[in-house]
Amino acid sequence: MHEPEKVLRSIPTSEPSDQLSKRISEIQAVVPKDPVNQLDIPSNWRVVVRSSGIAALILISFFIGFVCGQQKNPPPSNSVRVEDGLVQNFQHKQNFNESTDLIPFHSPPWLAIEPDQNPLNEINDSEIEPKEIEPILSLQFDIPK
Amino acid sequence: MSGCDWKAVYCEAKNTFYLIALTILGDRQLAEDAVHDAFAELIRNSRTAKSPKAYAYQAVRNSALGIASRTREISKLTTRLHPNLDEMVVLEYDESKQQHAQQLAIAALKELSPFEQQVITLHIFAGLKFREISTLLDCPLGTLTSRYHRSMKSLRKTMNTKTWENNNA
Repeated sequence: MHEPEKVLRSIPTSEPSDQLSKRISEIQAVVPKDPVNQLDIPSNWRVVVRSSGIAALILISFFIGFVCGQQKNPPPSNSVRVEDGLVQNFQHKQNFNESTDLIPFHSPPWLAIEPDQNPLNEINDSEIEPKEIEPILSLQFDIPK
Repeated sequence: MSGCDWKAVYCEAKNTFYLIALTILGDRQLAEDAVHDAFAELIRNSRTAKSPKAYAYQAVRNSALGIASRTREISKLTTRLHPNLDEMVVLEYDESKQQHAQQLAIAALKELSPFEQQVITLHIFAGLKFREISTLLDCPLGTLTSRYHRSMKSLRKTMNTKTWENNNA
């Protein structure tokens, strides 16, 4: 009974000539060493530089995106938290003053006009009283009794 | 690993590199040229690799395939993949029982398919692991091992048949 694997392993194989080893040694001797190794820089410096560069780029892009987003959608100047809004709204109702609090609390600041500058105050009430309007067309209906 | 010591890698497994190239090319001179070209490229370009030995296997294989495609016609592709066993092994023909068994094994090996011959020569003669062979030949590991065991069974059967024939002759 033959064991082919054992038999095959026992067969000597051909070997490369010594000339090949010499040729490879000559190439190794001729080629200068890697300048990176000559400077004693860690072997994985390329990886470190590349990864830190990528991280810096990501951070910069995030920062630019954040700044651009802020400019496009500025937060409202009177924006308050929900809790603060409730408290201020409550205080606003308690201290209501007709002269100063005509503008609602949540109105934007560019609508806050001083009472004496309000053009509506210059209009007399008589001018805005409705006049009697004559009927353009009078219709009479005979309603049967 | 920056600027591997490829000379040391070559010295560590020079027979394996040579046999990989010889399995593909079937010619000693061309196999040496393939190994030389592969290592010259690795050294000149200061190639780096996590596993230098495995990287060098692949480089030698690619170099051997490149030489094969340049030197032979595409129509002879199947012939190219057939390992030249007479070039790979050194058999001294004498009358000893061991030598007789070796001759039988080589004769039985020649009857296998080119792929099976490649797997066996790379595993047994070149000493590569199945995982390395599967990477070299682009073949799934499971397929490779099953083909190997099947071809070993076939080898055993052929060797026993030939021994029985010789004894009864």
